[in-house]
Amino acid sequence: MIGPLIKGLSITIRHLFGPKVTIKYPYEKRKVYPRWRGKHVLKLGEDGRERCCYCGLCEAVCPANAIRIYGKEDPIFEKSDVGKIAEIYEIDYRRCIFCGYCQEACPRDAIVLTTEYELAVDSRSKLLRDKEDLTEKR
Amino acid sequence: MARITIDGIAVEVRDDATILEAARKAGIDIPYFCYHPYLKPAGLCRMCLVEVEGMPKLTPACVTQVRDGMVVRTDTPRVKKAREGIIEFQLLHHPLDCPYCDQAGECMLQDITYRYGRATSRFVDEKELFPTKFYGPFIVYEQSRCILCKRCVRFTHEYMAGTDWNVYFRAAHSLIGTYENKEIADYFTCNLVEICPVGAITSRLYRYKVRYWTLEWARGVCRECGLFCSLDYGIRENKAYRAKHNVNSPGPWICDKGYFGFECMNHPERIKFALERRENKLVNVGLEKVLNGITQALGRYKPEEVAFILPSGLSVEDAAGIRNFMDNFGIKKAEYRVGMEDYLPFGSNVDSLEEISEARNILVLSGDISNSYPVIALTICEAIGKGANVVLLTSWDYYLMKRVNNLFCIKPSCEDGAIYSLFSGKWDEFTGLSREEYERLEAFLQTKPMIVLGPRAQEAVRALIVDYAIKNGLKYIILDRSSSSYVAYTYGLFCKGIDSLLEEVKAGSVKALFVLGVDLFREVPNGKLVRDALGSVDFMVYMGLFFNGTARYADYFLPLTELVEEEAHFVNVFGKLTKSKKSLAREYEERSIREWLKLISEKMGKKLDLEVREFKPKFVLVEGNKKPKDIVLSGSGDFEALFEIPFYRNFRYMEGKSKLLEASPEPVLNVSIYDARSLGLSNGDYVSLDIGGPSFKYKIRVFDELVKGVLVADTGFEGFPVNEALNNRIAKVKIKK
Ligand code: SF4
Ligand code: SF4
Ligand code: SF4
Ligand code: SF4
Ligand code: FES
Repeated sequence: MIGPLIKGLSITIRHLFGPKVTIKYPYEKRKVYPRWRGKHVLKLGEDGRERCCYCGLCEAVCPANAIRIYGKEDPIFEKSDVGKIAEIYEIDYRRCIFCGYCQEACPRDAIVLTTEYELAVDSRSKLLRDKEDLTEKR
Repeated sequence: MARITIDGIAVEVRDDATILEAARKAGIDIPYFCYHPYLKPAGLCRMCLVEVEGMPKLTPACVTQVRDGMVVRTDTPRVKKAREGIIEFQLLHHPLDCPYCDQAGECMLQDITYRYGRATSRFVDEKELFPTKFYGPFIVYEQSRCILCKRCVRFTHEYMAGTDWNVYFRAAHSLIGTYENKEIADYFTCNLVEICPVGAITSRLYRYKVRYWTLEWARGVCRECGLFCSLDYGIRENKAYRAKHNVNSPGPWICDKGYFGFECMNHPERIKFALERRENKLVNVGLEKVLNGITQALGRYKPEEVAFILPSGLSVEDAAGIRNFMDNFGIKKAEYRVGMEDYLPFGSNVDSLEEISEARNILVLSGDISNSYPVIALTICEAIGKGANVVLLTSWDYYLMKRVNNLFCIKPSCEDGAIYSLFSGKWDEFTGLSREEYERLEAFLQTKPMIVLGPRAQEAVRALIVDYAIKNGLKYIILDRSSSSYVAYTYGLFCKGIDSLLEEVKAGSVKALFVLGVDLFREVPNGKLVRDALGSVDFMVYMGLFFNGTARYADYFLPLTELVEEEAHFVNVFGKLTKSKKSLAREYEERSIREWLKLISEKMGKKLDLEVREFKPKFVLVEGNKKPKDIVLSGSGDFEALFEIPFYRNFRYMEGKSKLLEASPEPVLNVSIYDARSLGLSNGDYVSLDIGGPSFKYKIRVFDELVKGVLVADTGFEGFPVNEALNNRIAKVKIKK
């Protein structure tokens, strides 16, 4: 009866003075690997324009159907080969499984998964992120 | 019949078939770009090379005729190598910007490269790229993507004879377009988009909005004219983005009205709630209140004080619903003939468009066929391309006048007289035809031509032609301005003509009006009468999609469904039934005409049966020995003007079709070359047209074929009330610079 009690307490005491495995989140952040797949960002090109041209490949490849895009003619650049941008770009984080297929499919390296993992919000509707939210801030 | 073997499969085909056609029959895939089942073979792209036993070189399958006992192979290494080579050349300067390209997903170059091409290219040269060109409001041309298959050019030459869409410059510098980059909006421009196998010609309406593979396709029917062409609508998230003519019904081609006309379904200004008038404003008070209001108001009127005004493009179900509603309450008056013309008799003994295209001689009378029945005009042009002799006797037909072999152009007021005199065999000098012209026409009539009569013709003329055609065994098509004559006529939805109905409204013997989807100010060429009538009507319900001049007078506005938002059947000019499915869910309170009537009827305590068990179209033959009415021209002046709604404004729910309206931005006045010279006018000048009082600003278009002293003026523009100065389509006018 007393045997297991001592055994258990000894483990507790050992860990009390041993190295810590938890961190003081949220005051301290966990380090992740650079290839971590977290929240998406829509990259801007060197000239500051959005890179995404609404080719629709990420939308098509997404196994969770999390992406929804509509396109339009770029109001600034009317030359066709650079003239298309996304009008609506939404990622639904209720559905996304962070597989990274979208990043893989993108021919223009526009959609990239970042290491940001803090996606918790206080209502479900806030998990639907629109283009403004996803676009890279410079 | 010839028996040939392709890759070991034996097929039997017509003697004049090509190898490609035989292969399609045998189910063997031969890649092609320039071949098109409805165009003449051209042998331009060399994609379809095959090996034929006994021929030393590879041969293009699309232009090689079969021979009995021929042995063809498409699976040899030589063929494979040739295909890879051709694709490599095609892609030499191709930008491969599929991520941007609207064609991606339905692109033949993509598909064929994927199936038959090499994975890599050996060319390292820089690609030559060209700027994008916009040819008018409908078409974007991307020269870099063009593979010079000339399908588009062959289409315009074989079918649209006379449009200057062509190949300019030579060899590697070739480019497709119009002379001096003029815009192209020639009634059938949409077919260029459809026919281009790659993304070189794409539609501006669809441009960059959605990707092809996100669309689901729903079969629908275009309701703009009596042909009711089948169309597929590309739908994403309950909105239509795109039309496509996938089915050969009634013909392989369609017109711009159908292709770009679905836009009204998505239009932001479309009204989707039932509205009630409260102090000069239509407001949303809830469905229940609106229905109560309508039923209470209707209860105040006797059945003979209620009348219906019906739109063009009425479905069988809606017509039956209206009929049952009228019978339920003893209502007698309804009118579908809003164009203030004679619509009866109508009908044809021709069964299909094919029959028109096969005809050797065609006599086209009156007008405006190309405006009201564009695809019939296109088929007539196709017949011309096949060597038919087409004679046109008219005062105005923008499209056909430039394209027929023999044109007899007369004054609008003489049209009926001239046709009447031709068919009754008595020359009359007042018809504007000279003796010699008359004799030429009469001689042509002896060749037993097919007769196509346009909507402007009067009842007497129509009846005479039907009589004549039946007696002499001729084929005839008698057209009218409504696309739903068969159903409206069969259900007896007409009374004494729109003018007498409006007079009755004005006089107060008809107090309550149901106007269903027609803008009377635009359609009835007597705006004053419309204004007086609507001003004095006691109670009016307007059903439609948009708020317009007529809806301004309504006490209640009920929103309608359109195109694929309801299931409906239509009867086309050949008497054939076509079906449109319901594929879009309704969002708010929009309903079809019959469903609204059912709601109202049930509120008033009578059940309305909406089921149509059978439909047998019928049409009348009126006695053929009336004389045409003399046309009394109002106004004064040296010119005789015909007022017509231009093609790109002549459709249902014009308010919601902004893309089409772009092709007809301002009112145009067509002037003959003689008058233009004597008045010193040239294309693009502005003049004002004096119609006995008010004057209107018009842009001049010099039209070579018109007769001296005749003007053709556009109507149907918002804020441009020409109709109110008229009391008929034809009037005497003056030109002021
Ligand atoms: S990460 Fe995967 S699931 Fe998430 S949006 Fe991209 S493709 Fe879709
Ligand atoms: S794959 Fe890339 S370019 Fe294409 S739509 Fe997605 S983010 Fe935009
Ligand atoms: S034409 Fe076809 S192959 Fe060329 S860019 Fe467009 S989709 Fe791609
Ligand atoms: S524009 Fe299209 S249809 Fe015309 S030649 Fe070029 S690829 Fe062919
Ligand atoms: S399809 Fe035969 S040469 Fe183009």
